[in-house]
Amino acid sequence: MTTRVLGKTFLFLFVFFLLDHCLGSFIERYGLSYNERTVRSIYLQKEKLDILFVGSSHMYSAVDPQIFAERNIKSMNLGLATAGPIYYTYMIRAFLNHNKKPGTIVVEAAYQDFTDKSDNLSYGYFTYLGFRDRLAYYLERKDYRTFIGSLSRTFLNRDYFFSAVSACLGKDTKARWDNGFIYTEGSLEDGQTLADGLKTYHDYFKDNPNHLLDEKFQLFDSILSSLKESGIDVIIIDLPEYRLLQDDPTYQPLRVQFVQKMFHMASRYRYRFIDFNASESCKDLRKDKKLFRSVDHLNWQGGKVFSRILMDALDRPF
Amino acid sequence: MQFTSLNFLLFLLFLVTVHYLMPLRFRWVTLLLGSLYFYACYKIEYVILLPAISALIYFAGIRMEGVTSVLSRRLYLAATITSILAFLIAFKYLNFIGESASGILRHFNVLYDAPEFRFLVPVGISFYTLKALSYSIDVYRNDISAERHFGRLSLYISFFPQLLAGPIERSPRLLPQFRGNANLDLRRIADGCKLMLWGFFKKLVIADQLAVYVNQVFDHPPDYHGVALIMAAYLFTIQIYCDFSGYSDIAIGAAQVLGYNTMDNFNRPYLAESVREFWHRWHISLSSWFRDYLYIPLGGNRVSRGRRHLNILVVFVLSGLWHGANSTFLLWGAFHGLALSLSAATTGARKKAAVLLQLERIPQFHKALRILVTFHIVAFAWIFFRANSVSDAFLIMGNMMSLDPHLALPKAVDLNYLVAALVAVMALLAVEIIQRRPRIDASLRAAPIWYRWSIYYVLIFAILLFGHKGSSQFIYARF
Repeated sequence: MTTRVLGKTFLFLFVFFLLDHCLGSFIERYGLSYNERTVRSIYLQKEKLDILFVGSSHMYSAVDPQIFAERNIKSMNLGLATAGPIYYTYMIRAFLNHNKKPGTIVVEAAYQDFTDKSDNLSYGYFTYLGFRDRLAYYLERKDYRTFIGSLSRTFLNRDYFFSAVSACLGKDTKARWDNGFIYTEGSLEDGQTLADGLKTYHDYFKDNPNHLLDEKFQLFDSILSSLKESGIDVIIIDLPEYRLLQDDPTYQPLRVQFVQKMFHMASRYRYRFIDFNASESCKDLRKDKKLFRSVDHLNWQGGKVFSRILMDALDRPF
Repeated sequence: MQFTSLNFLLFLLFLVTVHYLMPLRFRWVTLLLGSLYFYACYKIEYVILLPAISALIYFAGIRMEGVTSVLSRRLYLAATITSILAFLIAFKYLNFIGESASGILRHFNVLYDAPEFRFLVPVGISFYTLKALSYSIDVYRNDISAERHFGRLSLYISFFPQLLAGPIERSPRLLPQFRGNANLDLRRIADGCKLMLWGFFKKLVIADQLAVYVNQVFDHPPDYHGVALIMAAYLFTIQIYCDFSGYSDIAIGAAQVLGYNTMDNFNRPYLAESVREFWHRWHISLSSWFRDYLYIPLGGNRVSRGRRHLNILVVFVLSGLWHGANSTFLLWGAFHGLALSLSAATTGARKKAAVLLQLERIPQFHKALRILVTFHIVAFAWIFFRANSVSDAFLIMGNMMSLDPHLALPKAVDLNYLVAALVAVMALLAVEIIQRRPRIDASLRAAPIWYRWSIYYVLIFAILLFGHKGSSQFIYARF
């Protein structure tokens, strides 16, 4: 009797995980958004990269690895929506655990990424890391419940079920994703988008004058420190924002303070920091409404233009 | 610790393991400690209430049994009932009594500001106090002998699957099981798990998803009219059933996994053909409690017709107030009392009308009509139950009649999940119509394995995909 019941239990669980795997795979194939695909692509790299780009949504909108590929530079864009230093830490770690060291890591350092506006996606992308990386993360954060939930592939991908069904039925088409670069649409020629973006940031800066978080700087510092120890070259970049955002009187002094801090941190490790908002090379780009989809995000056309500027700025033999 | 949380499942797994590893005579200790821990997870200070009430009924029971004089027994019983009710009133009704007194006095131009007591109502107090009362009354009536084992009596009061929202189990059924040998029975454990799975499905996939719409509408009644309000009333009718019967299934299933059988609390209530029958099928443990310990002692059916109607009204008003210290519950109870009285008073007339309309020739249609009418009476009454205030309830009822056909979907509602929940409701309805037994595990036992497993997988994947994130508290756990 006991053997029979135990046998049935094992069979039941086996069939469950089989179905779970199939359903989960279906959702992943049709429904996953770009961020999750980006995380998964960490495990699909086969060759040694020349450059790894790490950053937030600013990064995935701004750097197109295809442009770099034109000059035979192998690169990958690990930009993730709302990412900040917490995400950078685990993504870089996961990448280095599974791939050869890249020649250079280009890390984004945007003002917003060091505030409470970053690293705050409640569900997180970490559940999309491989099993071991995921386990390490959740053990470190003592978040066992989320880890247990992530054991079911269906549960893990549940938020994308309906978009998977829509995509499968041909009702939902998504923008192209290309090795981390997303072909994002929209432009600031739509005056409402521009006005709303400026207002949102203005209100945020006005209401939160002291919102740069020390712990994020410390975390960023530890990323630079560990990469230094690994002998990986790092370039820190501040990606271009639309000119009028920089003109905000509340934002200006806060940003000056942030850039100084970044320069100081980069020089401590003898890394380069390139501020593309102060750079002459981006002067025209930052005025062009057609190239931005929001005040601090380029669209795909802007991304292609900027990728060439970035490639010239990096100016190194690979 | 929510029944629908991962913490609860881990707690149950741990407790079940320890429970079956313990020698038989010490299993009550594991269960009692587990139950007290479970209660402490809500508010540790209130854990003391459980042994306090247990001690009260323990000593009172033994004393009652020890005296032969009827007067002394009555005095002991009266003292016990008063003490238990004092607990309940102190924690749950003081503010309501104060506010009501203040409101009444204002009508006579007497200004009285009732003091406000700011403490949380201990979860499940309404349920375990009824268990304590029924035990004491049973001992007084000599229906059972007083329990001499304080630990087991405490366990009867504190038994965690029933602690928050019942079923309000009677001692003659549960106490002997604590004394007996609940051996490890894998089939029973499997049945318990199936029942819990069904409960999780009802709560997470249906009740919690419907709650998003219902809460939005009932919490902002002036913003909605016509169809939107009618839809909210219907959805709440389904939500409360799935929420409470889902809870009961999980509770009964958890007890079953531990080796204990408890009473059923629901028997397809929305298929009742009259309000009277509805109360035989809905929250059975409560309605039978009020029948046995209040309605029958008041005279039951053996009194004059007028007195009988009055008794029904009293029982239902008290039953409404038992749910919560609020006038909305009072009105809900009174509405049901009146509906039941009216139903009893018009039985003959309705039979004559059925003959006149020749409904007896088409019994299936007649039955469906009776079910439909009963369902709508019950659904209408739920408006009082769910509304945040009496004025809100009347506003909702008034605005329902506006016949505004526009069905505004609140922003918080995700149409995909609402549709998934409605599909699940259809499935539930189909199951309830086909099902002949109150419990799904019993209904499925005879089915072939592929059929049963398919159902389990559908339920599991429905929970994984469409179960509401961050499940809300069970409605009845607030009482």
